[in-house]
Amino acid sequence: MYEIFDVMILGAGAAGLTAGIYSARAKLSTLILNEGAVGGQMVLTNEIANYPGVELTKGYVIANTMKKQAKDFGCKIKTNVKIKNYLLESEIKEVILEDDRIFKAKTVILAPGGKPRLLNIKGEEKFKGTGISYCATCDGEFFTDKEIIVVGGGNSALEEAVSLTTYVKKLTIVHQFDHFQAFEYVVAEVKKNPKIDFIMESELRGFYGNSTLEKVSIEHLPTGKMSEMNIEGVFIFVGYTPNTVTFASLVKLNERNEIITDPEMKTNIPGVFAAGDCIAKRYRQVTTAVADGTIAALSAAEYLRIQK
Amino acid sequence: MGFDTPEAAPIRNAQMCRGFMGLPFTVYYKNGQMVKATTSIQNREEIESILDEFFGK
Repeated sequence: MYEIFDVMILGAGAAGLTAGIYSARAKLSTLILNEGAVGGQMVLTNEIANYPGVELTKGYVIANTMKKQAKDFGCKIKTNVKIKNYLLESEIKEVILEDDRIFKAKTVILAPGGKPRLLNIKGEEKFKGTGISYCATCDGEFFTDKEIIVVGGGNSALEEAVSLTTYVKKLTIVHQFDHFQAFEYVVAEVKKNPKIDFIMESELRGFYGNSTLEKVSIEHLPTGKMSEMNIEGVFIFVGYTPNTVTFASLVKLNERNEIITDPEMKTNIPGVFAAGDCIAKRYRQVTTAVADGTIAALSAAEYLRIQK
Repeated sequence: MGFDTPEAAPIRNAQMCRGFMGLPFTVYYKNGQMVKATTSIQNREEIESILDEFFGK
């Protein structure tokens, strides 16, 4: 006989853990299943300085505190599981693991998070961690006094570029368009920084080196002209990809593969909610993920009340 | 373990970790010997492949 949970949460980042806290606090039997370690992208953030009510702290500290809060309220957490199949349409939802364990619940909250988008070009996989990075906070110090490239033209790319100038000798931003998408004040800050140069209307085409990154090739898009640049580091900030591939045939996604929800975090399937970086929204912060998780858990609780 | 603490030096300065520029550094020990090291976040398949290779299926 299987235990049927009130709420099953898939994902243990900021959104999933918050949903677990609220759901378990409301005396709903709650299970969190997570394919990796607890904390999601929070644990990649060295310092968090703008989480309201909390002075400067570490990402992993907030993650561990959230995990403890959820467990203290009675939420069960199973990490490093591998999920084989989802049955979300029926009244009782099921998740089947690769080891054939089955978990059932009356409601499901999808909170699988996202991951940095890759360029998917030659050498990117080879030099990940030996010259290519997706996290300035994690890896910036390794590039002290080196020359690096930042790829991207949005707020994240430009803000991270400015933060990286604390460490590097020189930084070149490579962007595919002739203008940046970032807010004007962010662009102004980048343009006045003497360490930053720009290569516009261009894209990287390959990474080269032996054990570490030594060189990149760059295409100037209007002319198709190829050039090479000797470089020891490249930081890539070209957006995030939601971890929604496995849900593509289950819930409605938009053209960016983000789960479409209403303001109450409901998906198109009754009893299935979504929260955090996986949903269609503009701003992705720990605080917005926490808000999504809260709303999803409260909506799930309301759904259960109505079903009774 | 904080990466900048003295306790992290054996990992940070290990021969296998030369050239690493992405956290986390992950090192695998077998019988007291470092047999494999990786840099940056690895996915489940990559980790399983290392465990299968060095620690048996």
